[in-house]
Amino acid sequence: MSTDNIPKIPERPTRRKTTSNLPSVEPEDFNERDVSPEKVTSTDIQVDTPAVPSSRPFIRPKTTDDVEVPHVPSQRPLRHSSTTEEIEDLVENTDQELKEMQEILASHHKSKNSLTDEPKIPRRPQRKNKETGADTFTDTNDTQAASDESIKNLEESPNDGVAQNVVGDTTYFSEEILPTKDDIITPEVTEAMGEAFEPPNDSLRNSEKEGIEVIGNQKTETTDVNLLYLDKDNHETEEASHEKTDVETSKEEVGIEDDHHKSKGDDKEPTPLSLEEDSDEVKHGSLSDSLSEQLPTIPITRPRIKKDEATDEEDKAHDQKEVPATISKIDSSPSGSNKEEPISESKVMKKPSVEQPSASESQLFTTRVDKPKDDDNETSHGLKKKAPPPVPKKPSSRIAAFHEMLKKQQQKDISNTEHENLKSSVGTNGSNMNPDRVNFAKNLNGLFALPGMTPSGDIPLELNKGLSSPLTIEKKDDQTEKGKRSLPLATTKRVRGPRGRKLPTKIANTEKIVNDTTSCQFETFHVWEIAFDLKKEEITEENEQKDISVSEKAIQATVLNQPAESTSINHSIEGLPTNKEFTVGNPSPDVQSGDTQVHIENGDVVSLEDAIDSRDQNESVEVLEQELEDQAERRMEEEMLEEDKRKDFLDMMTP
Amino acid sequence: MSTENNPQDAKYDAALDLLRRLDPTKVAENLNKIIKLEPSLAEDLLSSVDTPLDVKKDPHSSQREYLCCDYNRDIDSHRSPWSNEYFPELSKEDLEESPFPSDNLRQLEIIMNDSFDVYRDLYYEGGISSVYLWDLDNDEDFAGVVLFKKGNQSSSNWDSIHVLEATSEDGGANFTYRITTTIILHLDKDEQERKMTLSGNLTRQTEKEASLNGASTMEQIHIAHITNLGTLIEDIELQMRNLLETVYFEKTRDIFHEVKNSVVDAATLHKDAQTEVIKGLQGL
Repeated sequence: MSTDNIPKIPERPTRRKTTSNLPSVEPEDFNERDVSPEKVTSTDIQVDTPAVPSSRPFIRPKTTDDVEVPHVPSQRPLRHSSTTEEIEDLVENTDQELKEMQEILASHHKSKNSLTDEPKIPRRPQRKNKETGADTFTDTNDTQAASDESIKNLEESPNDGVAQNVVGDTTYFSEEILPTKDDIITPEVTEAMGEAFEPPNDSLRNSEKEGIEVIGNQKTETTDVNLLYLDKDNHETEEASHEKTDVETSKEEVGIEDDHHKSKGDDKEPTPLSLEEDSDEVKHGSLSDSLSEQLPTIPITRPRIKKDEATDEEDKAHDQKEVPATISKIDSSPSGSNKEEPISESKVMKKPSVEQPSASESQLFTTRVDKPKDDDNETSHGLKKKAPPPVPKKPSSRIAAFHEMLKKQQQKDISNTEHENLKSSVGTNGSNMNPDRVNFAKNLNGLFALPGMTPSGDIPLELNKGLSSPLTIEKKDDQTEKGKRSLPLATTKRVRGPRGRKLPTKIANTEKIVNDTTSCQFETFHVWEIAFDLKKEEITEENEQKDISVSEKAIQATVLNQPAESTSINHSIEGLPTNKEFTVGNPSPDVQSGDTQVHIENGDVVSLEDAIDSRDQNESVEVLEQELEDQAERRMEEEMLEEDKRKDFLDMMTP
Repeated sequence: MSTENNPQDAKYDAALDLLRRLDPTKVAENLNKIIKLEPSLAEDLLSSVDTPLDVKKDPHSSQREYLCCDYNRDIDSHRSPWSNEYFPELSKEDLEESPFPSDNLRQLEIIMNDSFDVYRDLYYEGGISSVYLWDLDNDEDFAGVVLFKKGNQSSSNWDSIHVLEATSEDGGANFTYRITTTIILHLDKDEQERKMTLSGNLTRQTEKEASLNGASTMEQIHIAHITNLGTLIEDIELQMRNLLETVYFEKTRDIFHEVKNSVVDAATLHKDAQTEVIKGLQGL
């Protein structure tokens, strides 16, 4: 311890500055502290693991440089690339706090050395945790749940300092980054940094060897300690060293947890919430508030708890009472811290604090919050111990989840500006709740509710119109829009076109058709006159039809009892078109009268043209036919009577 | 009531009723026949009966296509919204009497053509649009028609005709927009042996009162008019399209299904009757 302080102090700052500058610049550019642990995936951890053995011999002077330099740049750029740019503002805001923290760290330089020795032990266990993480999944889940509960309690606690404590974790990252950029780090600070980097390795080793019970204690305590640092801003260098170690461990934990938590769905769930809280806080929170609210600290502590629990469980089997319940695990973790405490001066102080929570769960939560406030040294020791164990598992899973959540939120933020309104509404609704809890609820809304699904989410009007039926659309339109109404078509006419237009030529030239109805009357009247003329027995050759001619022949034959050939009328229809002549011979006595008789007696030949001309006027044929028929009927009757008389006479004559 | 008193109005209503019941694919043909019967109704019928829109090209605007209706027609020529000229070109004497919008209204017409061209591109993804405006008696009032057409001329077509009337109230602060919208839809599927045609038109009239939102300059007034009319036409078209889809096409489908199911029911009835007869014979 003493040797480390004397020679190493001046050297480390320079080396660390160089090393830290490289990584620090990048993280600042990307403004992501939380992300850095995320991208410190298993591959990063693998890189760390080879460096660790080599670093031990060189650890205090060389390993820090070697190990830190490659690790930091490789990890941080990854983190930044993965994380969003939103945290840049937060980092900038935390600069001032970081400077203060650096001063504090310089003042407590000595205490750090002792602390660094402790964290070195837990970092080795990280490797072991990586390997043994699968075995401890069940246990870690329980412990995680307990840790989550504790975190929730912390969030629920009305104290604003709690939120600030949460910010403290974020400041860790910023602290590392800022001093490197500004080169403000004093030799003391650099020593603290070097110790911070070194101890995790040592802590891992120690955890591997001794057991990670201490880590379990760190879960709760680390959170508490971080909170304390953040709240008071007067924390000693020990705290800074713890923070650094926590950061490193968190990075390692990320990778480990990624491996472990892939199979675990439960562990991932709580992490996104905290992560979202961070992102949301980054958006909304003021500088100090944002720092305090930044939950990346919470995820870091949580993973610590997980690792601690996992390691604690293994260690508990050796050292302390093994309790199956999650709460008991948390209790056991303090016991683990007790083991580590003897290493550091303040370890003893931490033991009682841990033991108190073990007594009762409620006490645990309360003491967690209270302890950091009361005893800074104790909390700092607890952080040192806690830093190694929590690093491996939980942060990784949560960071990964956070990574995804950031992406989602970015997409949501681009498209949905309403999300913020929702958050504000939630905050107003949850006035009874503490600000942390309100943020938690906001995060829940952002997580599980789509923009259109939220109670106050507004669906675009056009979408509503498209989805709703036309009737409903009309109703909505009536409600929403003033004076918009559909008019009945019957009562309304559309506007007329512009004046001065002329009709198309086709239509313009059209004339209305008028019907003349007088011509028909004249023709009908003329026909009747002709018909009366025919009644004067003026016979003309009018027969154009065979039927008429045949009937005439038959009638004449029957009436005169003469062959039809002897009849005077001989004409054929075929002969009509030609100038055919017809004669009337042996006309019947009844027929021989008037003009026709004259024609017949004289033997005049009537031309067909004349006949056709007079055809329309001659309807005498029909009259003649009727007369002939009447005559024939009479004669037939007479003959029948005569025959009857003859028969009667014969009958009379015969006896 | 007025139609009973005025024989001219009675003829007009009778002509509309007749056209409403005739084949919608032959509206223009039937309209010309009715006008021949009663030329005095020509102007009213031409301005009130919507026929499928014709497309012409403006030789003075890079052969850009524009839509033709009765509102931009004079004699046998149609005014182009792009060059504000009639094509085929009219004689000077006729041009002196031909209607043109005032300068202020022409500016609004140009802006509206551009705006609704964007609207057409967004909603129709093709087709042609044209806007024609003309002045009314009041200086601030104006009327116009917004035309959209999409489809190939041979088979299916969508013609959207919005005849608008903007009348000012309160000295031009508020305007009342009355829009008579007619959508002429003609679907023609001509296959080798099967030919199916579905066509019809739907007309609705909407009235809305809106303010110009304190617009003072002419540009602001024009933008306010375009905003009011654009949103209104957008809503109307959306409603009428939904109406066509949900009411008319759905009803047509129901009719088809009814016909098909009724045939099936007849067949089942025959079977039932046959089974009853068989049972009766077996009982004997």
